[in-house]
Amino acid sequence: MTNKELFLLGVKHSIPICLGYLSVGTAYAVMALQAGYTSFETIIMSVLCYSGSGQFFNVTMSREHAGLFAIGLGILLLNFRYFIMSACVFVRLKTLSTPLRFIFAHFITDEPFAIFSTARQEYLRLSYFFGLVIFSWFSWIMGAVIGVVASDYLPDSLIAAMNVALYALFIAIVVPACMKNSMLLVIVTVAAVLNIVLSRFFDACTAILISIVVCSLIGAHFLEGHDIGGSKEDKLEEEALKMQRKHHDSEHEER
Amino acid sequence: MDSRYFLYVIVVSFAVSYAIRVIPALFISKLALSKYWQRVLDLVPYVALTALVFPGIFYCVENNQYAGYIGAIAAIIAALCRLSLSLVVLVAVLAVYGAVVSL
Repeated sequence: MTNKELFLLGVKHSIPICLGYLSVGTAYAVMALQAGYTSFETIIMSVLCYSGSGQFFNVTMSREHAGLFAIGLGILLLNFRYFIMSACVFVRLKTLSTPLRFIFAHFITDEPFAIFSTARQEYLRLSYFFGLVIFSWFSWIMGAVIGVVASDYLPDSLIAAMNVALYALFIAIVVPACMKNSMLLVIVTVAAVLNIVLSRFFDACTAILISIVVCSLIGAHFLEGHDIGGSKEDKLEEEALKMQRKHHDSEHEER
Repeated sequence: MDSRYFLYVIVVSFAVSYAIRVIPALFISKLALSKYWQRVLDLVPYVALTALVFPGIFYCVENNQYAGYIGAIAAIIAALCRLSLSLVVLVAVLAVYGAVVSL
């Protein structure tokens, strides 16, 4: 396949992602504006941070005037999965030059990762990845723009109702994984109860950080032998390492 | 409050998120994590999302906690029915909208 065909295929595969990003991006913008962000700040955050849960976390924390260190630490914990995803994606794009790695690293998010890392061998080229991510990113930004514009025209009751959108999205991500893994259900239930209790004694940001650290560190001991619904990444990483080894082997043979 | 506080928040979270994404892209071959830390990393997103939702969702509509409860229940039921992500969101928004308008 030519690069152009691969790019267009990537664009085609990104259409469902774009629809999701448009709507969630809109909901994020409505929420950020209510927290006191200006229109410019709301949109620029979508351009730069490009992370649904990260931006939602920012809005929740900054509404309470959390310290910048707490926000940085929270983002680090929350988005650390991108570390693994980025490794998985770029191990499949070995010949990529360093400047291009600097540029395309910004576009690593859950959904394009899921599609790219499970795509057929012949699709694993930059042109396909480029097609997959460019309009996804653009839709996320457009969502914020639509949210900023629409918040002036939508009725107040609908805007109030849209505040639930991102919470609902997170429920929709967590619940199916819990249906596959009962230990995960136990851990997140403990996390929910712990956070509800902690937020009576601490501000929301401190409570959330404590809940994340405590439940992940302790929960991981109990998770032993269990597979999380999304632990696809694990297998993918193994697979990626295997690919890498094969590559090394073939290099040796050539010598 | 410093009027640039929100801008600082944006800069800090951009710096952190970009670093997380770019470091493995540059140094992929030197990466090794133990099984335990891999499980911690698998778990963090689920725990973090849950902590973000509860109890925040109850207070997502100002002065109307019942709307929050209804939204939470609607979203959980929709997710249990294995509806797609966008449909779960739509169901929850409509449920909360209904609660806000009627209560």
